[in-house]
Amino acid sequence: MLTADPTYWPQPEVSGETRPFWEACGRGEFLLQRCDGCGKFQYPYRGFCCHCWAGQPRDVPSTGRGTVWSYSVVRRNRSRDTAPSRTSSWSSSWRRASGSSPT
Amino acid sequence: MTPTKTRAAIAGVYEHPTRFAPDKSEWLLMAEACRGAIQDAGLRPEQIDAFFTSATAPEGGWLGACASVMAADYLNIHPRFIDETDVGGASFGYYVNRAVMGIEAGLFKCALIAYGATTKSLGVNVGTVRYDDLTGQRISPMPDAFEQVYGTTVTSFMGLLTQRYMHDYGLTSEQLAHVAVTMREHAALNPDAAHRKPLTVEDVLSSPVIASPLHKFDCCIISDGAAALLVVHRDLLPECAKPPVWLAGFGESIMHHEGGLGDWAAESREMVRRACRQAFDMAGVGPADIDTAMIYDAFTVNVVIDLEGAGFCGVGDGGAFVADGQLKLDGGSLPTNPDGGGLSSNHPGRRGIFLFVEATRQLRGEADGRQVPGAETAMCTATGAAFLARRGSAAHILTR
Repeated sequence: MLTADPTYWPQPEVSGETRPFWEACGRGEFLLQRCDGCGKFQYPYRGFCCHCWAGQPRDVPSTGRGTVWSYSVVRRNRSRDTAPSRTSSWSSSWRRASGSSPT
Repeated sequence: MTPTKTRAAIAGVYEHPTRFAPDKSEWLLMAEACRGAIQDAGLRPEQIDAFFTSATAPEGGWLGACASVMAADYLNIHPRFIDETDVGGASFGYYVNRAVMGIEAGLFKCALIAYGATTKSLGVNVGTVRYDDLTGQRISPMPDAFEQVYGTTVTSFMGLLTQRYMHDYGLTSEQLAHVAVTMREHAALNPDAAHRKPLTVEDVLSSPVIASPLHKFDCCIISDGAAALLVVHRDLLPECAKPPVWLAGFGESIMHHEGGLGDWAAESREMVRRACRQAFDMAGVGPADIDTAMIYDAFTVNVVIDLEGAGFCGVGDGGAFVADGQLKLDGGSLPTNPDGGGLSSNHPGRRGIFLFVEATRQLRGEADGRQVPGAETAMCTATGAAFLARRGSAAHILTR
């Protein structure tokens, strides 16, 4: 479980390039990008299509559904401001949507 | 098959015996290792004309930006060629590659590769803190902001990778435990090893979970340490004190997130396969020609992935291979890490250099008490990480 308490979790640095992603988070949206040239999805958010270097990535809000690709429960985290026993997981709904998913 | 040789050979090695040196700096540990290697080779410091080292700050010391020039200043050497390519713990394999390339190109003849770190003395929890905490740097907008905000640690990444490898290939925690047990058996034969008390599979499985499914004993230890290598042109060998250990083949390869589409589990193995294939092809040998292997065991799963990637066993067979005792000095088909590896002997943070020291000792027949009988050809494989699945592998074939 993530918590919004900034004393427990580091806050992301935001650049001009990534601001749209974080602003979308503020609206409750998790943005993926899809290239209008090659059609491939990419993540994390960036200002060019890393697949074809040609097309323009367009924002695509995720559906919120997906398949968990892997997970790890972090039992030992000694970072200065991270409470122990938090869960780290990584989901990949966008992989499947991309059409080139290994799963 | 007998491997073909390049014009480069390892002429001197030294592994610092310390595992905890709170009264020394990592700079001094490195210098002591360099002195040991130059004495081992029977050469003189002024002959060194290329220098390779890795920044240690902040996980293992204070050597940071411009590491190779700063360390050259401390050592008071005058290399005409320097490099500090950073691929985490695999960096030293990349240095060996660049040393061989430079020697083959006629750029230099005597390359010093050195490392020292006081990670244990400094109390750095390398595997269990976020990267921004480890580096003391802010969370960068790209890509850290998308990853570190979840409290990710090095061990949690390896946990994700291991969990998926188990899912895809049937690997089990019990099989992984055999890697840790075997490394501990080997460490018992190495008087310098940090941990020599026998370990059982049950001990590993009942040890605390650091990041699931990895237990404490699936993770390498944290120690201080230092080592140095001298890679020289064959023209210098008549001056050298010890018989050469030839670089017969080398390879390297990287992987990353593929714009978010990569399969970290399969790609981790395929990266090793690419590096190993290059090394095997260059040397003109195959897995069956390898008498002993040095595999960078940052975590038990690294050994399984490297065995499968190198082709010592089939894809998905690595767990059975290690559980069947094939890594053991005593009766295994591929005696691996006779020194006890990073799981039991030493791991100051970037362990890749120690693989070459042990391989050299084995091929010279100097590994008292843990010698692989008649070892003629050795392989080193190492994978290091920038962070998460941005990683690089190096592979080497060495022969006497």
